[in-house]
Amino acid sequence: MNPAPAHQAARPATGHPPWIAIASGKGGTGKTSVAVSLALAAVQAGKRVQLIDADVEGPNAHHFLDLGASAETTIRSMLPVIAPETCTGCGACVEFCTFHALAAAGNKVIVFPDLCHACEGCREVCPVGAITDGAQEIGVIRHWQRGPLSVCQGALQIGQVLSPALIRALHRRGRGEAEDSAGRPPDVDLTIVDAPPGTACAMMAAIRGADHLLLVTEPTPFGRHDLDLAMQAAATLRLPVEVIINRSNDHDRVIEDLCRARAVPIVARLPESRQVAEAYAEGRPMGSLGPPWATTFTNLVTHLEGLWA
Amino acid sequence: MLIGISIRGDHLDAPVDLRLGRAQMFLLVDSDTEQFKTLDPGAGQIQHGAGIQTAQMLLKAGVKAVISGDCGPKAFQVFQAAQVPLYSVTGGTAREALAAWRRQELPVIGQPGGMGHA
Repeated sequence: MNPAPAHQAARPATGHPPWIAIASGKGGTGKTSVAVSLALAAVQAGKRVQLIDADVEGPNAHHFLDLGASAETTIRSMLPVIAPETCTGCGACVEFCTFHALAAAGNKVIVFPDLCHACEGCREVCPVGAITDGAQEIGVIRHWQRGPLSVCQGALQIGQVLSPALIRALHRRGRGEAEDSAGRPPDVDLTIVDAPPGTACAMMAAIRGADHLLLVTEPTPFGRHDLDLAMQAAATLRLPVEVIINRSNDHDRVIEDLCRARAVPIVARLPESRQVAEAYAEGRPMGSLGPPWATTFTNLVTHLEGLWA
Repeated sequence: MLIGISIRGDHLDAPVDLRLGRAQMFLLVDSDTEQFKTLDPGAGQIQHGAGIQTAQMLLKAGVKAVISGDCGPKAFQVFQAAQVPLYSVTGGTAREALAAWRRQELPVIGQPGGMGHA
């Protein structure tokens, strides 16, 4: 289950600029601070950067950036619509749906939109073609362009559960594969994805397809535990992984041991400091604080450039 | 006619389980003969859609009325589509509930209670 060591990082397929995901396992380790600071350092280094805030249940990267007004696109997902005159009430769709989004009531079938994961399986298994695609709004994608920095975020509609579907829509836009007007590929040199916390479906959807994964952790037992889970999750996707220790202090050993055992390099340490917390409270990313933070991010950009040089 | 009653136990003198979606057990009682059998919904372990599953199971078993404490929004929708009425009790045994239903003293649940689970 060991993740591939970073030195195996392959050059991204021709024609697509490096796509880096930032995740953590544990919440509150500083993913977003790191993602924003890294994006700004890359801009400083003369790059055109796309920052994707994929923490769709609570996007917040924009709070650290003075971005002005955003453009917004509504994102919809498949929802089964059943034609009552065609439906025979055979129950094949009800049987198929793992999420119980379809229910048989006598010879009628009822759809529960908030349980539907939009897999389209019900439509496939219906023997009489009684199911067609409807659409349900799952959230919005907002985007901003500010000089060389392009920022976009997904915001899941309250009560919705389809985080992965919205994250996939964000990725399609980011890769210039979306059909709608929001899909114009921003011309960029580097993409940074700020993933949601955890190691469940949403986090996996956010890191999938990345060329490189940076895991942000903290030197605590919880940080170590969830970092281990995140490394295992990354291994299933065969992503090259490197670790950043945030709030680095004299307990770093707990993380160092794990990284050594898994052969994962630690590429940056951000010292624990009240200064960072104060800046955070004012909506300023730690990269704006000067040394050692600013220099750490400048070095990180150089390091990442080196991976694909 | 067959009536489904949510209970904690396995006989007519068992207390009514006031939760429908996550009821421990159901008693399927023939109101003409008072003969009954039990139905284990096995829904206690389901993460999502327990009420929907339970409602479908009861409909499949052929119940024409249901007695419980409360009914979540999703199960309510299933029973409503099948036009199966839901009756509410606040406690007591299945036998008492059945007797009250015969005397037409049980209120019909006209709208879902609880929050269900999104």
